Amino acid sequence: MKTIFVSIKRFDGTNEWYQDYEVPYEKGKTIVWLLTKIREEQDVTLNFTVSCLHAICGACGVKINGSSYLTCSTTLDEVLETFKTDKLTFEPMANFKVIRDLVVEFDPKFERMKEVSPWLKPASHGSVETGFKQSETEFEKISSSSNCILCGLCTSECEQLAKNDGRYLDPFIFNKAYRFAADSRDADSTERIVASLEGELWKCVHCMKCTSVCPKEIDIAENIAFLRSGYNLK
Amino acid sequence: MLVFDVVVIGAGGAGMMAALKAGEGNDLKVAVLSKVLPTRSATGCAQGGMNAALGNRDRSDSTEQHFKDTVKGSAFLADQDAVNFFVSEMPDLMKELDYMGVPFDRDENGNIAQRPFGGASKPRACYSADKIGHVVLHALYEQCLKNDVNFLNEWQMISMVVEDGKFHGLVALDIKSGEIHPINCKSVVIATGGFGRVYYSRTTNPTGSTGDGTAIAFDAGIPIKDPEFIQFHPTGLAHTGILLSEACRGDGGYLLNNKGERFMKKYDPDKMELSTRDVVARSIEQEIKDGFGFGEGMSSHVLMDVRHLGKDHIMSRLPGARETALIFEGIDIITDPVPIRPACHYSMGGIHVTDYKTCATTMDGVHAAGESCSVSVHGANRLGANSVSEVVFFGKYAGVGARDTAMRRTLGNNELIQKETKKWEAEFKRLREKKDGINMFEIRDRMGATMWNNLGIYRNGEDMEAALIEIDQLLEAYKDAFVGDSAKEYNKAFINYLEIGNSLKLAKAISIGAIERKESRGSHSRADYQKRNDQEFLKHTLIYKNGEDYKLDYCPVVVTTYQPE
Repeated sequence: MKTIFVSIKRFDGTNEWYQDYEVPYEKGKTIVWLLTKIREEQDVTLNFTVSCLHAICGACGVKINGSSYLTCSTTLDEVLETFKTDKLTFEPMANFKVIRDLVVEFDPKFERMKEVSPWLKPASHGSVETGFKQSETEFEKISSSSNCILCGLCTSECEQLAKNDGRYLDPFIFNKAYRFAADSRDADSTERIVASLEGELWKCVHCMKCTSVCPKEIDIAENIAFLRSGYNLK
Repeated sequence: MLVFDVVVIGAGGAGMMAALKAGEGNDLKVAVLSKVLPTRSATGCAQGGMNAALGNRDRSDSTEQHFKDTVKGSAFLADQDAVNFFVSEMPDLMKELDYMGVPFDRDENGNIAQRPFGGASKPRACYSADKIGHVVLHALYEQCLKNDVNFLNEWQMISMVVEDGKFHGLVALDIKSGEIHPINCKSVVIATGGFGRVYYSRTTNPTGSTGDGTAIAFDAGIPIKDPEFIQFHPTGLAHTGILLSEACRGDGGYLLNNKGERFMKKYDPDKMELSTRDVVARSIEQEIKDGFGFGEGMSSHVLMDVRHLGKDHIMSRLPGARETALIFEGIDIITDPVPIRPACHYSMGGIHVTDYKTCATTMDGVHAAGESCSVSVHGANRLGANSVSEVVFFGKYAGVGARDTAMRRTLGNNELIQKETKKWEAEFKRLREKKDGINMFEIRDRMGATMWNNLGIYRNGEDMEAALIEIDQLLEAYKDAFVGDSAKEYNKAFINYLEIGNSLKLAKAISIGAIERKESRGSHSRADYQKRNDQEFLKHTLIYKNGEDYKLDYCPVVVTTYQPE
């Protein structure tokens, strides 16, 4: 009977501390199962966010042993094998303000996201009455970047955000800028690029951690490179 | 005190559309309350597509056929005037969504691509890979950001302030600060989604789908319509209940029993796997009952096989389904069939909407849209790919309706709203200070088990009566439920407590409606009344709540051009 030793970083608005729990190992389980078991059977004051439980809503990002994961779709086995350990340390995602325990604040980042106009600026070849024509190839250009679930794992892993003084935009915000800059239905060619430049687009150090961690396999670093390239992305 | 003209509760497809329309081109103060960040809403979970008779895939499609399919799929319980309104205007709304930037898959003509879907006579489910809900949800959120919609995120609506049947305002908790706020407003749109978590043990729904807005409206005196009609999606993954999209079947997948047979030929040889969801779900359960399934008890299942569709098709049209099966069943659908079994998926019933053009309810000032309400467009069974369409459609008209209502009504009485606020502040404090009591998760789990076992896919009077007794016992136990967290700030345990209370009230409404409906129709299938009985039951159930008294009534179904057959 194996035991998993869990240490979770707690925060109640004032105090920070690590709290320890023990859970008997079970096969075929996910991380959210582990956290839920602790919460419902041992400590209901533990807070973490989950919603869909199948990696489409982006609610459940956390750090485990220093790396960022979605708890709902990461198996316990994967993490135990990756770190070759039976001790798991949970912390909230990095580069976010922490609300309580593993719950972080997204709203200020969504507010900043507005700087890159993360919405379609409809081009003149479409209308409310007719919609748009768009080719399959043109749709392919935006299909991957549209998969972003705003989970924040890229933010949590971002090496620039870790040391930046606050001006740098989050990787997912650059991805949104790319997603619309590349949409054939969009009228804008430069405003989002300018906004990205003002958001320190050139400070990305190309560590590629955002691309590596993205649960939707979006090549965020490549999209950042596209934004920098000055090419017409449509 | 916070004062608004229009408040929208819930920021999913219906809620965000309502907010956009309520605030469009005017000076009204609109706010959206959501207990989760908007893009965490359940709309994002919808996968296969959204119906509209655009005729892109098949020029012979028409709104008339969409109408007939919807009414027939509803087992003739849908209100045909509402359905006609919905199907007629839906193609125009698709153009609007395209103009908002929703990224749709395209056909060779550059038009929105459509796929076949359950119960549809022509292929009209507009799709984006297998992530229609995700793309629509995010596009609506983007439009809300563009229009500076006022979001109150992680706010939980606790109560509607009503006196003598008149709506005055709301009481809501700011989860982060723990402050309970009185909110005065002229109109409200309830768009809090479905209540699949009443079937806690086996559902495709997110953890927060507990029907909070429906329960609160119920408490306030607005009846719930047709609560007994619960859709069990045929293909939930066997071990978790997580949804495996109908698109797998729409694109040509097979359902197989333990003999390797496509067993649907026994139940609907015409439509096979693309029969309506109620028929497919029952067929799967029947196969399992008859010993043609795999596994035992809660692990019983049949198989979904899409290998013959080929790798290219799966990677481009069903990538989400493949990912889901890989993570949660450890199976690659390119090379292997995947275990599936029905899971509670959708609530056809909900807040009784009395006017389909404005989404008004029985209480002036209160509108409702989305899965939280029943118009009724889906009647006794919803067609796949009709929900995302319906929520954005009626979300739009609820927003317009609530806007018009706000321009006509006056604000509520501040004193009454303050009084209700103080009551809830005291209650929150009492629950934070309570030192012990009955474990609320146990109450919830017992409710989930009773509902799955006794009010599931196959029902009978005796089991349902037993369930009602159990639900009453759980409602009693709930009075001594223990929250267990004394914190004021970000107390999710208190939110869970409210959610469980809301779920129990809805469980009771479902039970009463199901017991009294002595027929089988759509998703409501009874062993003791196996036939559809239009003579006595071509009518909507209405359940009213007055304190602890639940009362049952009925109201007529609107039949226009399609006589029940």
